Amino acid sequence: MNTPLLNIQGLVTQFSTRRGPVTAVDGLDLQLHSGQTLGLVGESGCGKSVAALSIMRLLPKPAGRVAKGRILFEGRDLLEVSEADMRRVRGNEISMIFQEPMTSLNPVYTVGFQIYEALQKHRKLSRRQAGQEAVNMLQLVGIPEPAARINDYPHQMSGGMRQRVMIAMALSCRPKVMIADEPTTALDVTIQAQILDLISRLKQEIGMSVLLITHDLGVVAETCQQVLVMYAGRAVEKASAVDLFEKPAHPYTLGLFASIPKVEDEILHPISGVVPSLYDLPEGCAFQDRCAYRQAQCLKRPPWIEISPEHWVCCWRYDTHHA
Amino acid sequence: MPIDYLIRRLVHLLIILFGVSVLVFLMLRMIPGDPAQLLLGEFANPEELAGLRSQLGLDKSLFTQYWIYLKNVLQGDLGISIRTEIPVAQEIFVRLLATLELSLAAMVIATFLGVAAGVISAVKQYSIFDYASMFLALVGVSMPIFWLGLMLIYLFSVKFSVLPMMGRLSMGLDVPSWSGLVVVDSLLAGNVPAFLDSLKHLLLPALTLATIPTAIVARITRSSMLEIQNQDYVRTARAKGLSNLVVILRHTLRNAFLPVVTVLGLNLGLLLGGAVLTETIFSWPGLGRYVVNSLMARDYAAVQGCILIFATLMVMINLLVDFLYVVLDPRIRVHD
Amino acid sequence: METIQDLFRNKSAAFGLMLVALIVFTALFGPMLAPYDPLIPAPLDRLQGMSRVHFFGTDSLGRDIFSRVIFGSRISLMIGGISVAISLVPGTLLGLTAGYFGGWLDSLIMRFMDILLAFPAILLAIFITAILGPNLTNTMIAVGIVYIPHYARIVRSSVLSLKQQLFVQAIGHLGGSTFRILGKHILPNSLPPIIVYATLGMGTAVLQAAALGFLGLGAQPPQPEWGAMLSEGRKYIQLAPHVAAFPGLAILLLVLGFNLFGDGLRDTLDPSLRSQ
Repeated sequence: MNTPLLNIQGLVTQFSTRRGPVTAVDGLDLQLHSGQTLGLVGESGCGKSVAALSIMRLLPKPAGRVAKGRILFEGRDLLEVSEADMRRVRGNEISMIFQEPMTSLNPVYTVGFQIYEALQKHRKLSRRQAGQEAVNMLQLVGIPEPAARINDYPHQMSGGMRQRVMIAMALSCRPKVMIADEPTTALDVTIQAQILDLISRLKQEIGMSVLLITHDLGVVAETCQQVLVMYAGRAVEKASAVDLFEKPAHPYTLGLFASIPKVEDEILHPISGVVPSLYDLPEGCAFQDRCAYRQAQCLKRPPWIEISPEHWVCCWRYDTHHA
Repeated sequence: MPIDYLIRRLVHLLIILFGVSVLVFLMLRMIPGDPAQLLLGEFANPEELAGLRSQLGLDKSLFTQYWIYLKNVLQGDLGISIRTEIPVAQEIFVRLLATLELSLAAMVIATFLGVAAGVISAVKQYSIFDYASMFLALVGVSMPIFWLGLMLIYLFSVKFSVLPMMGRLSMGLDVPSWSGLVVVDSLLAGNVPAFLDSLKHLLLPALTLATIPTAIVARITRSSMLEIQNQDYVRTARAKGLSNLVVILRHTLRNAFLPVVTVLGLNLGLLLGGAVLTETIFSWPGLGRYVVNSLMARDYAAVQGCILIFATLMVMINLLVDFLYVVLDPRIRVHD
Repeated sequence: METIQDLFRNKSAAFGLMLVALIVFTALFGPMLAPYDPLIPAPLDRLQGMSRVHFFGTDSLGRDIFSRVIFGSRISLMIGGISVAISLVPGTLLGLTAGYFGGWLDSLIMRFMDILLAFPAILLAIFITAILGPNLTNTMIAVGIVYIPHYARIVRSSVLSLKQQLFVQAIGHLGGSTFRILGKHILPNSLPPIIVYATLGMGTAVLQAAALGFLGLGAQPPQPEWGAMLSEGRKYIQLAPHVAAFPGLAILLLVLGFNLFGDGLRDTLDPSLRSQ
């Protein structure tokens, strides 16, 4: 394949806490190609949101910082550019929507103004044009009577509507990449499907790439071409969505599939054990304490192993040289 | 909802003001000594005393007396000052404007200085500026302002003699009174020397009076900013690529301002109280100094008038703050 | 125990406690510390500046200001303690009654509190002192009365939230008597905010009482009350600023001590109050 639009290499993000430094993202490699939707999957606290905030350079200051790695966007390392240049990227070339539509909009400004703001900042439109464009965006995300709703305050809208507004805001400057951090988690099931459809449709229309962060494999199945599974700050498996769903390889991925409630099966199969604290991860593979296939080698960091073309897993189980 | 709210607030206001008038009336009746005796002096003869008592209505029942008093107050009649024999309402009005000028100046200082210090402290949390300004703020709220006023006088008027010690305007300067605020009047009259002179007179008392409110505003702004800074919508604003300044002012301060407004409103009451002390120190011819002087002279009609006015102002300011809140927060303003 | 450790880890609270402790120490051992008698005039030594003989100089009657400031600490601490007690006891009782019984009793009490709150605090205190007569006792009474509504409000709101909690309702259902519920369960649980407010209130009371003293409505000469000393110093501000400077500084330090300590208490005892 050609060079990726967004290429993350060896990203290490750390937080300093009262109990000492913590590595939230540990050596993440990720490639997002143009026009693609990549699902970043994992349980909460596995570092997927932190990875997204690292890309945007919006880590909570001063606690969080990127310690190592490169984030290449169209060949430029976003970790190297000036803050002013980064502001030209945010909301313009890479935009982001968040999990909580109820709290992600400023309650004291109308939704129209909040869309308009981004347009005026990046596209240098006149007041009128930007205002008109804001109405168009609301129309695009499927809000009825956009010209009237533009003057609404966030509290006058439902959660689903607010998430549509967030999407309108994120897409207003036609970004090349949209990062969606659990965009449907806080919404009702029926609304979830609508929002996912909307994201897929607009992705085609605008011709952007999407980095979709989720803990829900169902969401991945519906929207993504590529998947990357994360556990305790590390990537453990990456593959096309088709491959991953057909032949999940990593024991953790298998566990994730087993824990999806199925219609024919009334018993849930949660992964046994608990997510280890990032403060004291075991030596070697982070998943070993919960793993059914644990072996002696797991005390060493497992290497990346290609089990089929473009399907990589980070697990000793597939190590053919040693077996 | 705002209309309901408005009516409810107004009814509450009237109840409070009624209560205030009853309380003030009863408290003044509790002052030991006979007002007629006080007016006529120790050696008045019994007939004169009885005459004055019935003239003042003191021979009627307490209830009737209150009723007469309330009727008078509602008609703007606050009685006659025994010192000057001028209607109290008239005396109060002139002095109220002087107090207003001083309080407004202090309010402006407190708002700007306090909000600026609070915002910078929050943005640069745990910096030297943060520690220093928060320590100063704590000293500020603990400040005996009458002492601070004296020290300022000593420093700027006595030692370096750069600022006047007292009053609103130097001798020999005169401006026509339109608004009653000398700073404004001198500016309107185009009298530059008088304007500068009045500003010089205003500076020390306004700074003194502003000390405690500035400190309080700085503290509340900081804590409110710190809270808002972590809100999701601030992150959204950053994710849009807005500049730091826009994020801080438009998306953080604007929201953080709600509690600040409440505190500003509450502080206006503090300011009115502080005016009593500040005006005494700087011989500022306002209501605070007037009420203290009236008390010393046992001019109870004047005292009563002043206290009623102060309480009314307090209640009205609280109402104003409620309205400001409605204006600032669309969640209250707009209803579905 | 953990609370107390937290409190000492909080540097500003510890500093506040140190300031207060220093002044309490001064008050307790005043007669031993003061080099001169605070009341006896020495006309030959009047308005002397700071020196090794008179650390803080002398006042218009030649009295040693250092000694007067030391003796003044007793008065100010007494004012703080007694005024706060005068606000605290009725305020707590009113707040408990209003919050626990609710209904018309609540409305009546709280409306009356609103009326008291409609006056600027210092003005109401001045007014009460004027009615009762200007002296130290009446100053304490006046300052005490003025802050009753503050305690009533705090206690009421804490009672209201406690009433919602299960354990109080459960006791009510088990047939506990009203007084038992109030005294054994509600009052102890609403103590943290009361303690915090009382500590901060000590500072406020000292400040207000000093203001009354400064206006000539509080302690009367020759009592070495800091506010009254300032009032006297005001007359000599041009000639001898030290007469006013030191009593004022003493007020500032004591109030600062109470405020620092009170802030620290609030942060450790009741984090929910932090934003107020």
